[in-house]
Amino acid sequence: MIQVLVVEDSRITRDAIESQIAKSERYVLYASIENAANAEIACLRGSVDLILMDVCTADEESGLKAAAKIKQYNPKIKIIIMTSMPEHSFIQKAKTCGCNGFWYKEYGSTALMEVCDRVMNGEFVYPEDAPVIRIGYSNSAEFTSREFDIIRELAQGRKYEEIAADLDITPNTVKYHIKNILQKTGYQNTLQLVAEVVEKRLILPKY
Amino acid sequence: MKKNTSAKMIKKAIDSYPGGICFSALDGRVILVNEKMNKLMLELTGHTILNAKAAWEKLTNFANNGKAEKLTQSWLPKEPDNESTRQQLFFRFSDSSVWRFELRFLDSNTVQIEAAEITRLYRLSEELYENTIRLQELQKRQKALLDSIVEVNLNKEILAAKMHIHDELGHCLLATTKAITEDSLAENADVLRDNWNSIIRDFSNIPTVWTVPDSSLQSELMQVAELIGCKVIFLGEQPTQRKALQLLYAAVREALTNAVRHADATELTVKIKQDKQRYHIEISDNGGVSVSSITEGNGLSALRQRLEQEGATLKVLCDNGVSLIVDIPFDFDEVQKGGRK
Repeated sequence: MIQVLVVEDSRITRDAIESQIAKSERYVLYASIENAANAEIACLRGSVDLILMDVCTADEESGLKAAAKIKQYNPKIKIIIMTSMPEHSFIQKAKTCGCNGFWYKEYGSTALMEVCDRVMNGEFVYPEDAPVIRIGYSNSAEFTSREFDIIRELAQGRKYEEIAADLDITPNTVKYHIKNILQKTGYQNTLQLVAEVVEKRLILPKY
Repeated sequence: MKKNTSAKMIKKAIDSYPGGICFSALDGRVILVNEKMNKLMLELTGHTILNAKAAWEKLTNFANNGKAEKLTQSWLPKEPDNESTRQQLFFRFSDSSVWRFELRFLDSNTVQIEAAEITRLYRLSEELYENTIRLQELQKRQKALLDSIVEVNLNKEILAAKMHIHDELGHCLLATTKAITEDSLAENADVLRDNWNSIIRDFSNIPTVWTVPDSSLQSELMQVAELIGCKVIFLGEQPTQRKALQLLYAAVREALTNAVRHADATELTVKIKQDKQRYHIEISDNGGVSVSSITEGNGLSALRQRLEQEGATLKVLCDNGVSLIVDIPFDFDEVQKGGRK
């Protein structure tokens, strides 16, 4: 049987996942925890085969950061990242950490257990892209990766000069990108833009 | 004759100046004053300038007289130079015009009082101030939004799960009602029984597996430690502040990981002492590895960075085994104001 560690801080979601594992003949629940920072410890004695890892877990601990640490010492453990957040960078971050799969709780049509089966059969299972979210007159698919970098920096309260230094570009280039973003979305200023982007969870700087 | 002509020309020139201006000696004796200044002073004090020093004192202690009002808002458009040789006062007159009066010591003998109309500048400064307040409010709301976004999402997830169970339950009830009303209960009994069993399973707990019963910082970590065969023993009183607890448990997690991974430890001891300013924490294990020094890996470096950002400190002691010494201050706010990086 495949031993599964569930990392999920929503009790009802956790219960639903545990229930699906209990119904399965292939998987057995090893442990179920709320805080991603404890996941690495749970894997220390080598009994875990598969981790179903939420991104935003208890005490604001990041499932992606925990996954990166676990993969560093236990590359054989398969990890599927689960989230209901449309944050555009999560998929790329999960790939960079070496995670084996990615599952949106509220978007897409693939069932979790199907993703588990495919991952345990050696596949890397990822959605093609993050869900498309409407931002003003535009949508998230219309932003370039550089524009996302700039919005992320703005959401962290950085000034134009700081953004320029962080991204290794000139302040004028930062202004040029911001002008383009505001033109696309129709917002009058960056505050309106950031409020919308954060409210729709397209950018979550902490994770 | 030439001198008189020149004096008249100077007087004529300063009278044509649109603002008010007055030059005086240090004792207030007027050297030169223009018509505009006299007109403004007449409206403010009831007479023209006889002594500049006395006139400035009257302006400083001015009480609203129905013809003009003294302005004292913090955002008034003051000159950036705040030297002690300059003083500024602001007045709004009955025609709504706003004037700035400025006293300057030109040299050791001469004082200048200048009045300039700043009605437009005043309006713009007022607008700027209102916009700044609005911006600050927006920033506060944005920060609150960022802080609560995860909680909002969790509530959304809970709602989604409740809706799922609700949907499934509704579906079963409808199917059962249909089977009863259409008198086909016997034919569909197996399918209905399976559906109902599935829903009951969703509602019930799964007693055969281990799950964490609550979300407190300590209980989950203790149970995970137990799961991997390492007991964590706390000696002393734990911090009450959540932030301090989070730092304590971050350190315990790192120590536990290293103790089990590198020393195969089965017991971790956390000794907590406190003085008036901080918690002093010592974390050691019963692992069988003896080292004289260690190289800090990613985990310890990240822990050190996190602790130092909050004003706490970390020391690694290598004496037979490896111990972590952590000092956490009581008052984070003070530490952060003073020296947060």
